[in-house]
Amino acid sequence: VATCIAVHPGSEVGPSRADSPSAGRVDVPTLYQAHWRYLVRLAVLLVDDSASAEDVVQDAFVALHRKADGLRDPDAALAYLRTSVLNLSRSVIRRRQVARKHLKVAEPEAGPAADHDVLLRDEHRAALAAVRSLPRRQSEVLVLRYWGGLSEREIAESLGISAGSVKSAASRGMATLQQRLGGAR
Amino acid sequence: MSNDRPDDDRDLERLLSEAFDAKAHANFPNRQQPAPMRLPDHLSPHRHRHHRGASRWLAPLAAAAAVIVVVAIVVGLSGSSSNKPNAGALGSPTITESHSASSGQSSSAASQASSSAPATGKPVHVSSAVLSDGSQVGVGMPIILLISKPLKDARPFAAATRVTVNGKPVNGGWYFERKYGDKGNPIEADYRLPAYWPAHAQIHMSLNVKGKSAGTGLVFDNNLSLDFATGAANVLTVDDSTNQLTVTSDGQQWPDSGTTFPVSLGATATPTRRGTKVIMEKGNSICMHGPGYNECGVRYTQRLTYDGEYLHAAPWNTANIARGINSSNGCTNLTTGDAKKLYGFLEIGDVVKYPNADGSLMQIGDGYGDWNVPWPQWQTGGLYPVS
Repeated sequence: VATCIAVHPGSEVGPSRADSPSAGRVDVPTLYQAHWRYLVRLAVLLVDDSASAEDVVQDAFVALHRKADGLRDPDAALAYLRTSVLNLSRSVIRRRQVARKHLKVAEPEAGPAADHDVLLRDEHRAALAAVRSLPRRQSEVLVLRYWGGLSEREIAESLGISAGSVKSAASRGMATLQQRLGGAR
Repeated sequence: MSNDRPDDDRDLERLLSEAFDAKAHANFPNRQQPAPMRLPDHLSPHRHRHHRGASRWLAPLAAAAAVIVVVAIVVGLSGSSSNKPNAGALGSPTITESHSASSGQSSSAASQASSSAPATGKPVHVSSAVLSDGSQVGVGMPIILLISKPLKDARPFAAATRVTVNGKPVNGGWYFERKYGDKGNPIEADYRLPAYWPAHAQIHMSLNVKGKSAGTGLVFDNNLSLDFATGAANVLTVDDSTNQLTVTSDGQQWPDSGTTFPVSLGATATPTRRGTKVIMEKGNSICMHGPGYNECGVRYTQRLTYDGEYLHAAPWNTANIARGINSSNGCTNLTTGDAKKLYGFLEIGDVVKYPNADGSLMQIGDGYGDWNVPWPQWQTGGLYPVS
């Protein structure tokens, strides 16, 4: 009846009951409809441009599709997709870095074209640039924490690291950001 | 939960949330529909069109990139297959394992005292779902334990329970329910007093059941103890006739005697449930979806039911909040300012009453609906007789 349902188990830890509509077999097209927007948004925060983000999410669903029989729980499927998006985003960034190293001359100094960023307010653009300049793990943790709505433990599971590492990455990242952005606000 | 952090940190958190959300929406606005899903069969020729189109000079690296992609997918697969058992736990109380682990440790050290010859049979394990040693919660929070097998006799369990409040024994009771969606723990046992816990109290529970029978062929394999505290007695009342939310804290209206908070509750088709609910969890910024909407960045959320009722900020609904028109999907919509105030003030276990909401009575299994079971019924023990 009441349906302000939180799909993306973030800080919420409520069991989904077996008789709730979300339980049952994993149906990939349904999951795609339900989670595409969340996942491309997550991906664009990691890889910066929307075209790569869409590719990453497509690849994540392909991987899930190959595995769908082995996943019965939709929540597990979402966790699987999230982990795939993180891994695939990382490899997009790595590929980009490799390409840049080989083409120092041709590559303009500016980062990847983030065409939609012109729509953003200055303070948001500055914050995003500062996050981009952090070590990879720190920026991943901050995106998952402050946009993805994940708990420390869920972040640890998604990234395959310990809860302690999540905590220290978050606090180091926040300290750096505080330094870089603190004066500006 | 983290009121002790400097304002700077909270400002920065807010800036980050907003900046991430702005970027996410700028690139993928709500109106944008998903591109058709490309399945493996017709996938390969077009897959990397963006990279290829954008960078002809990447050609020499294409092979290497392909290898990386394959590796990434394999990593994705193995990463998440190892992730699977954990991810499954997302559907059940995520904190269960860590907490039961810690309480298990403290209890195994606690006592081995079963003087008579221990019963034999298949092991039954008990763990704490939400509370752990040192937790501070609101006065409506039940003790929630998870049990690894259906019991055949719950009386030894009930008899082995000792609960004290500020050192004095109290007589509450267990209520057993079948638990869905958690195969490892098919039974939940909740403990409460006839009325809420006293405010600002130290509570101790010990359950010395190790070696005791849970019925023929079943024997408990661990003891459990918990030490936690209550904070202020925060009780919220949401009046559906005036569309106002009133807070009392230790008997005094909060933040002052004249202030109530306007709300919009569930629309006629999706009414808010009636009854007494308890704050189950808090989320600064989460995603919600339902028929016709799928929104991330919903702020200052405090969960009340498993099926998805929350207190939360609803900046898109301020007109109806101001006019007292019920238009939500069952959630209690607040202005951002009010939602933020309540988010900062309340804690898990605080009580939220809906005496006259339109929906059906919230059931015990749909969250911490324990107060909707009348005390005489509670004393029967629910699924299992306790005396």
